[in-house]
Amino acid sequence: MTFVTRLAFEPTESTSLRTDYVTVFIDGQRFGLEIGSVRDVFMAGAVTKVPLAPPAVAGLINLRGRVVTAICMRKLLRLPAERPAPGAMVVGIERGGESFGFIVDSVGEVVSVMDGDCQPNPLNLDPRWASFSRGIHWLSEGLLVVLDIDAMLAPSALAPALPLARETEP
Amino acid sequence: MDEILRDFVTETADSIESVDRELVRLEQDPNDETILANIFRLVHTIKGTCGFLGLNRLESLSHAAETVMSQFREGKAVTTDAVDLILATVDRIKLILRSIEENAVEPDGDDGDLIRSLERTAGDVLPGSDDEIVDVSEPIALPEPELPAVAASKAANAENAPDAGLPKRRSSNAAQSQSIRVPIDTIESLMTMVSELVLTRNQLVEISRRAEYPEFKTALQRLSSVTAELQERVMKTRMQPISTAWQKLPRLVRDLCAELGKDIELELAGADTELDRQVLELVKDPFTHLIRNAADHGIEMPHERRRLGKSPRGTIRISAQHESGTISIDIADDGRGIDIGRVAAKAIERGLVTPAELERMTEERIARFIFEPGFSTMASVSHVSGRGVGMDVVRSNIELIGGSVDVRWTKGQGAVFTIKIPLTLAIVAALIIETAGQRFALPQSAVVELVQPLASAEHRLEKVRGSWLLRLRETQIPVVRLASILGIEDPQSAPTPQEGFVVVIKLGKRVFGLAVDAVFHTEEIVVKPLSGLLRSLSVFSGNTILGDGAVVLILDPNGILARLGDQTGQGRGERDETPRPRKRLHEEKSSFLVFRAGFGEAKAVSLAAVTRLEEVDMASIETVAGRKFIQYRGELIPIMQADEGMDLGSGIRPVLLFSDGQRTAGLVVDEIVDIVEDHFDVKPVGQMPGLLGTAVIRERATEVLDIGYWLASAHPDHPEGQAAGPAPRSRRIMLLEAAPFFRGMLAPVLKAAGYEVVALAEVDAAIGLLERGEPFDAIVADVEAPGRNGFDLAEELRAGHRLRQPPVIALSARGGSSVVDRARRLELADVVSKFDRPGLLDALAETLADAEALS
Amino acid sequence: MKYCLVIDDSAVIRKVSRRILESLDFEIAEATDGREALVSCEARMPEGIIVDWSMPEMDGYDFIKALRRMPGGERPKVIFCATDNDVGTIARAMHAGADEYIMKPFDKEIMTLKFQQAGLL
Repeated sequence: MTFVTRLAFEPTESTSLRTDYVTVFIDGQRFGLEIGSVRDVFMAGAVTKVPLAPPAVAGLINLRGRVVTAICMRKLLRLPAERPAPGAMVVGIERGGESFGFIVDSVGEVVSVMDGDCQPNPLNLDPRWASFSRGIHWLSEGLLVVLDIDAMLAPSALAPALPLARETEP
Repeated sequence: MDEILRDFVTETADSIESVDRELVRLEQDPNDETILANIFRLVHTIKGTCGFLGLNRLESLSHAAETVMSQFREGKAVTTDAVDLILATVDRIKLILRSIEENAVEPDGDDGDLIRSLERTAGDVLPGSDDEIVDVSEPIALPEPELPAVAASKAANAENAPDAGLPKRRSSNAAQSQSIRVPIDTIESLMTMVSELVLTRNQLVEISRRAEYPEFKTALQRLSSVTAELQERVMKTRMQPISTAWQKLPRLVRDLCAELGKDIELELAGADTELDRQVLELVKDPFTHLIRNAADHGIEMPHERRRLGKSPRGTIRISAQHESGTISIDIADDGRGIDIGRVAAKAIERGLVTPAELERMTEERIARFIFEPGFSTMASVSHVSGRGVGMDVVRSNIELIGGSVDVRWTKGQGAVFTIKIPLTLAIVAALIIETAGQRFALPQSAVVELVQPLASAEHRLEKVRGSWLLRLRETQIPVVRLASILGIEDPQSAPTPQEGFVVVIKLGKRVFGLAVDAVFHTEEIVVKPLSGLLRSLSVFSGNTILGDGAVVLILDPNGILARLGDQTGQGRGERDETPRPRKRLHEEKSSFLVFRAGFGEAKAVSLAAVTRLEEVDMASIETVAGRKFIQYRGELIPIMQADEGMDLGSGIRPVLLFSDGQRTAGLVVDEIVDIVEDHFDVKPVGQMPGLLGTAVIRERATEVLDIGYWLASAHPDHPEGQAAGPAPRSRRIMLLEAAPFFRGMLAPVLKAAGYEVVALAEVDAAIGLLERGEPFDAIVADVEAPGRNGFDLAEELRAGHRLRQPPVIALSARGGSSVVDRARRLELADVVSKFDRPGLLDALAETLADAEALS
Repeated sequence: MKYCLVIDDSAVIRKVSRRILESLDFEIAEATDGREALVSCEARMPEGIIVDWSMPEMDGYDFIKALRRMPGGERPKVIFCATDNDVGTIARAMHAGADEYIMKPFDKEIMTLKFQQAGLL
C-alpha cells in the first residue's frame, strides 16, 4: 500500500553529492537510513522487555557485549505490531554514544541516490510519518522515504501523539 | 494585576530559578558549553520580555548579565568572582520580582553598583571576540558586502583576542613524588575494560559450572583471583579523597557568615576518606546545600546564642568515615536543632499529613517531613538556602546513587545530618531474582533478608485491608508483588505472595518486602546505564549482562519504594523498623575468618572450624618424612600451606589451627584480615579440592576453604570415622530440592562433609537418573515443594521395587506431625529440618552406617 | 483572514504578539520552539511567521533554514526578532532566509510598519 500520490515533478538544482541509504521495509513501504549512521544489521535474538517503557521501545538486546535499545518501527509509525520474534531484523544505529536498534520487517539493499533528487514530503503524507521523514526519492523500484533518525529517537516521538498531529487516536 | 504581568512574573521566576541552579552547576564545571548556553538563553529571554512591560530595572540588570554570559559562551574564562556577581544579580532580580508580584510595579531603587561591576567584568576582555568568527555553529560564510560600513568599523575596533580566551583547568604543580599523572579518560577506559573482564570471568564461571574439566577449573581459579585483585586496584585509582569536595567549603562558610551576619567555625574531619570519583561528583551539590541549611536554619545569630548561654561562634563539623562498603558523612551543627512543633505545623499546613496521623508518628518520622518537596519552615525562604535546591532534591540526589540521608537532633543543642553513600557505583554485588517469567538484578546492599513464607513458621503473610503484610519477628512490613509494581502481570491471575519468596529490602529506616517467584544466586554485575530514552523509569537503575549472556534490568529499590507509595497510598511512610542487627534466613549467622595466604584474592574459612590462632616461629617447623609439623601442646601438629608456592621463610607467621575433635592441623597464612559475620552463600566453583567455593564477603569475591579437605590431607593415615567425622569421598548423595536457594545452601554443606553431591530440582530428573542405574548411597529430598516432591519420589521408588533403593532422608522446613507420619508410612530413613545442618550431617552419617551394616 | 505563527519560548511575548496581531486582523497560532513550529507549518503553512532567535531545542536560524527546505516553505514572510542592534545577528538571520527583522520590545506601531514592509499588510 502506498501512502503518497505522485505529484508533478518539481525541478531541483543538481548537485554532485550522492548519499547511500540502507533500505528497510515496513508494511510494504521502502524506507532509507543513511548509511553513515548504520552500524549493524542483525537478527534480534532474545529481547529483554522493559516494563513501564514507552510502547515503541521493544526492549534490550545483547549484541556482542553491547546493550542495544531496540525500537519497534511499526509501533513508531502507528502500524499494527507483534512482539519481536528472535528472527526479526534489526538495524543498529549509534547516537549520542548509545546503541539503538530499529526493528523492521525486512532489510533491502543499499541504494545510492543523488542528494539533489530528494523531494520534499508530499502534503498528504501521514503527519506522523512526515515528522520522521527528511524527504523522498523516486527510485525505479518505487518510492523511498528517507528517515530522520534523530527525530525517531526524540523522546516525544516515542510518547503518545502530540495534540498538534492530525490523528484520530485519543 | 494585568494578566500579562502575572504571566511574566511566573515565567521569569521559573527562569531565574533555573539560572540559579545552572550557575551552581557552572561553578563545578566552568567549561560546560551546554550550561553556558542554557544560562545565556534564559537571561536573554528575561531581557527580551522586560522591555515589553516597561520594567527598566530588570531590563538593565538582565542586559548587563547577558553581556557577561555572552562572553563566557565565547570562551572567556569563568571565574568564581564572576559567578558570584551573576548570582548577586540573580538575587537582585528575585527581589524585584517579588516586589512586582506584591505591588504590580517595579520598586524604586538603584542597581548601579551591580551593573557597573558586571560591565567591568565584561569589559575585562578585549572586544576582539568577533561574533562572526567565533560562533562555530554557523558554517556558512557571512555576507560582508551587505553592510560594509559597519563591518569595517567593527574590524577596525577589533584587536586579536588573546588565546587565553578558552578556559583551561590549571593543573597544580606536580609534587616530586612517586606518581604520574594519568588523564581521567584513561582511568575510565581501564575501568570499562576491567568491567568487561569481570563479565567475561562470570561467563567462564557459568560455563565451568556445567562442564567437568579440572585443568580448566584451576586456570579459572587463578583468573578469578587476578581479576578480583585487578578490579580492586583499578577501583582504587578512581578513588579520590573527600577533601576534593571540601575545597570550596571554607570559602562558602565565610560567605555565608558575611551574608547571614553569623559567626561560624568550620571543622573538617576525615578528609582522607576516599570515595569513587563518580560518586564524589554526584554528592557535591547535596553536600553544599546541607551546609547552607545548617548555617541558615541551624546556627542562631550570635546575640541569640549569647542569650542562650552558648558561645557566639557556632560550629559546623563535617566528618567522614568508611563503614563496610559505604561512606558515612556527618554534618553536625551546634545550633537550635529541629523544632518539631514547627515542622509538624508546617506539614499540616502543606497538607502532607493529617492531625490524626501526626498523633501516631514518632518525632523521627515527623522530622523527615523536611525532606518533602516544597517544604520550608522559615517564614520567608532566605536567599541562601532557598536557592532552588531544596532538601527534597538533596535527598533524591543521594538516593539516586543508592545512598540515604537522615537527621538526628537535640532541641536547642544542634542537629546532625548523616549522608550514607556507596563507595563505588560501577560493579556491585546483585541478587538475581525472577518474577512473571523475567529475571531482574537487585543490588545486594539493599537486601537484608530472604523469606520463604510457605516454608517458615515464624514468618507469616497476612492480608490486612487489601494489602499484604509480613510478620517479621516483632514487626510487620508491607509486602508487594514486584510483578505488579512493574505492571507485567495481571493481578487477578497472579500467584499470591505466599508462594515464592519475599525479598526484604531496607532503605535507610524504611523496610518493605518484595514478593518474587524465584531467587537465584548473587552475581557481581557491571552496572551499565540505561538508554537516555529510558532513564525516566525510576524503578530501574541500569542494566547488565549476566554470565549467561542475558540482558537483565537492575532494579532501583528507591524507585520501587516510590511506586510502592503510589500503590498503597501510604506515601513514603511504611512502618519503620527500629535498627536491629542484620539477621538472615536461618537463625545462625555464619562467621568467617578472612585472611591472606599466598597470592591472589582473600581467602576465608568458617570461624567455627578454627580452634586457635597462633603465632609460630617458622624456624621451629620440623620436617618428618617430607611433611611439616610443629610441636603444639605436646603434640605434633601437621602444618599446611594454602598455596604450595608459598615460601614459609623464617620469622614469626600466623597459623590457623583447625580441629574437628579428632584431627588437628595448622594452616600457615600471611595475615589475618578480618572476622566477618556474613550470609552463608557460597557459590561452588567446580570441584576444586580444598575449596568449598567463592562467597561475596563485603563485596569482594573470597575463596572459602574446605576444612574437611585440609584436615583429611593433613592426616592421610587417619582411619575412616564415625558419626562426627567427614565421610570418605566415595559416598554419592542425591540432593532433591526445587528451590535454587536451598540447593545452593545445602549442596556445599554436604560437599564440605566429604560427600559427592548430585543436586537436582525435579522428581522426574531424579527418577531418570535412578532408572539409568546411577548409583547413590543416599537421597536427601525436600518434601514440601508444591507439585511433586521427595514424598512422590519415595512412593515411586517403593512402587518400582527396585533392587537398589537408596535410603531417603526427608528435608522439611515446617516439620509437623503430618510430615513425620507420612515419612514413617513410606519408611523413610529420617526427617530433618532444612536449617539444621549438623543434624542433617548426623542423620546422613547414621543412615549410611546403618545401610552398610545391613549390606 | 491571514494566518500568522508566533514562535517564542516566552509565554509573555507570545501573548503580547497575539494581542497585537489579532488587533491587526490576523489568525494566530503559537509555538514554543523551532521543532514545534515546523510541525505546525507542516500541518498548515502560515502566511507570516514571527520568530525569536534564542529558543531551546532548535533556535531561530535552524528553524528558518529548515522551513525554507519544506514544500511551500518559501512562501511565508519571516520576521525575525532581535534584541539588540548587533549587526552580526541580523545579517546571519537574513542569510538564513528571514525577510525582515524587528527589535524587541515592539509595539503595535512598529509591528504594523514591519508587516507593511514585508508585504503582509
